[in-house]
Amino acid sequence: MIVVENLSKHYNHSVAVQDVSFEVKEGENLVLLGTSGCGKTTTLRMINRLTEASSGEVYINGKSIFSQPADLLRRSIGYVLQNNGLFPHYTVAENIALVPKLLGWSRQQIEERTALLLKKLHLSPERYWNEYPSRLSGGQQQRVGLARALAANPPILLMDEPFGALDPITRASVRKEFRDLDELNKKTVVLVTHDIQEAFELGDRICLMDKGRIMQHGTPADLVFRPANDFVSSFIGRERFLLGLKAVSFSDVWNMLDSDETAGQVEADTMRESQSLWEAMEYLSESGGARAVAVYNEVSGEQREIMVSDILRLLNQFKQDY
Amino acid sequence: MDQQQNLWEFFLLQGDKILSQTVTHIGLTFASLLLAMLLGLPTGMLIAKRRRLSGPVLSTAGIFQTIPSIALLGFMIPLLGIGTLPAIVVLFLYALLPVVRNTYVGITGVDEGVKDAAKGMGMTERQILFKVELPLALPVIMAGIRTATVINVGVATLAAYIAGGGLGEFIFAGIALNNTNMILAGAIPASLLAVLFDYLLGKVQLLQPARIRKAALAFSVATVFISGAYLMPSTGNQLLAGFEPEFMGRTDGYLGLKSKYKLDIPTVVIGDALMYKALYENKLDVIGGYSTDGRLKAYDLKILKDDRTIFPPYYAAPVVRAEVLENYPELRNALGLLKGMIDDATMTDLNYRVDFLKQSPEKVAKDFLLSKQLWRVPQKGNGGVIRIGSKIFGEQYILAEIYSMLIRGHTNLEVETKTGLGGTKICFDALLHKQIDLYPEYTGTGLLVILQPDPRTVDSLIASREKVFQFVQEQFEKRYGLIWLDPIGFNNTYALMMRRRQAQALNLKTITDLKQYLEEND
Repeated sequence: MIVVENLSKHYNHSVAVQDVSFEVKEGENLVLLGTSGCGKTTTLRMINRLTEASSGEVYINGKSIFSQPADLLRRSIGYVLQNNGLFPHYTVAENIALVPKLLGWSRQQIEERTALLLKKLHLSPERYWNEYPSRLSGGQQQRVGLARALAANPPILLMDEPFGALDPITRASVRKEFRDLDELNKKTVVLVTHDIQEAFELGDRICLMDKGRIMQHGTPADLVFRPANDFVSSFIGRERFLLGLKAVSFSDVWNMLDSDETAGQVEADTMRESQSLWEAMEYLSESGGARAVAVYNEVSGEQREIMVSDILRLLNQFKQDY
Repeated sequence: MDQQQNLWEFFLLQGDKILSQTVTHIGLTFASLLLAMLLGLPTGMLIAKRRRLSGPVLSTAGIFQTIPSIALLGFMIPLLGIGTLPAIVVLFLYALLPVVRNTYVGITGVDEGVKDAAKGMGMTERQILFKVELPLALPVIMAGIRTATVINVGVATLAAYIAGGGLGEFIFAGIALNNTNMILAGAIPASLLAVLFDYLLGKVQLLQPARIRKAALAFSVATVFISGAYLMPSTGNQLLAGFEPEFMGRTDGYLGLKSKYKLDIPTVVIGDALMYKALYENKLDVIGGYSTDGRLKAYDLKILKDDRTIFPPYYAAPVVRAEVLENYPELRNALGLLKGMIDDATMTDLNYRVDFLKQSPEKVAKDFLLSKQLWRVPQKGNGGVIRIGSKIFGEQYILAEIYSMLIRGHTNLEVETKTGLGGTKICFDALLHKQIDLYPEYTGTGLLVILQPDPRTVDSLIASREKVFQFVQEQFEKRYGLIWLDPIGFNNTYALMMRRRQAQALNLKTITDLKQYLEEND
């Protein structure tokens, strides 16, 4: 768990970050969102002390980050950079092994962990083990960058525009892979992005920042349906409808659904209750003629049939109740 | 074709010497490179971390680069003497800048994202430097070492000026003796070395990251070994001789000392500009110098008598175009006034005043003429113009001034001086092509450099100043229409010289004495 209290960063005469406070619960994804220069990256870098705060405090699991040397602190926090920052003179395996080596893991332990991560990130260990980063595609490099951050299994992961340098198509696929990665589910993640779609897809909570201050801190639904001020409204802007669909998951609206008598077997393409209305919409428009999609609730064991008209109804109803 | 065969023969003949000089050359290059790496790499790392220091450090290293290499070698003499040590130090100073600068640029040029990642992963400053920055900067650092190596192979040829050895010995001797084969015997191996090292280090630079680390390590180890192979020449308690490259290659020089005197003395090759001072500062014990040089007086040196006559007489006399003498017969008398007036000691003293007391040649000339009561107020000078030339050293400037004062004072002719005409060849050609009317020349030079008769003729003449003078006088008039007037008196020849105190202590008066002393103390 991360607690940030009144964090500020001043450079000579300018203010980069002013009085920022937030909490990230264990296993939660917090997205720091904003335009360039809003202070989101500086805030992130103050958590692993790549930038030293001018004032304020950061606690990780109740312990101040200033109570130990910065390099030791950083070894316990995963860090993913926008341009991957892979060492060009290290092979893929050596790059991933970096932090475990610093922590003094045994050779065998390191090799097992490296192989496991490569597999999880769909990079064949045989093929890529001894490859240099320059011979990988952008998406592959970014995945190795993530593997490096995850190598020592840190409880916390800081990600600075992790998909920023990728083209839109690679970006979508790598993002999906990240979302599906079991390693990430248990992590406390702070992610920086300027892409509001990305923020809505990946964030449990979002801190929208501007000029070094937090404009609103809340769930994606909070930002769309209860904007705290004009800045937030205008930031959401014309994407309100799309973002609304992304902000609402089936679990949010489960009890608004008619009970379905045909609850039975679960098909391979059945959706889960944690997925968003947007995903159902996407599925229906791309499935080529399917009128409905099945959504399965893993908690209650129920299943519902959803149609496009249901989705719009659910969105409106949710908005009214919010 | 003939030239090529000769070159090949020369290479075969001098093979051993070329090889040993090449080894010395490589040794010099790498010993200095090693020092430059030992100091330059840490310095480069330091200023990459403390950027504030980079300005002062880089400009200091840059200053050494801007000092002409010969001058830098000269500075080293009073500090470190002559021989290997100052040569290595000078080369080291030259190699420093490329090593420091490229280390600095290489490290600071490492991608910020990579440095940021290294820091973000929790590497310490030290780990970042050695595991990330240095390996990534290695190609740039190797490029600096490559530059330094190539510079050093070139500058190392100058080590021959201060008895540091190397391929420069051949080059300088070849230039002085106008012997192309000899120049090439030094220049070709030196160029090949430069090309070879440049090629090899260029290859290293292009290697894969993992290999370049190994190659750089191998290179460093090789550097240590090669520098170790370069041993300093040691002379023990023996006397040490220093001769300039030209002297080394002349029969009226080192070759004559060997063949006629059977003189066997440990010898280093050194530039003539530094030779006297090195002798004075006890770095050398015997040098081959010029007998009227002002430094003889300044450093209290003693000439060993040439008792077997290997050095031909170099009596100075004005050489004038015949038609000028016909047009202005009064010129002969004016120039003749100086006949026999300046002996060796007087000329040495005059040179001393110009070279050491920094008096102007004009003042020295006038003082001299006044003391001999030969000075007269210049006349109107409307009888015609005489153009006097001189070579580019003090003695010739003084003589040119004396002649122009004599002509102005004792005739109605005007004088134009064209001093500093480089060497013998330039003066002589200027005279031949009527660009000047006269210049002071030396009989030995006229004989050996201009006339170049066969060795037998030289041998038959060389012992007698009269015979040499007669020969050059006859031949110059016959061949070129140039007239040698009467000699001025002094003999500016090659001579072996020692510190007076040491010569007296060892009781050495002649070259034969020196030879015997060396044999007895072997």
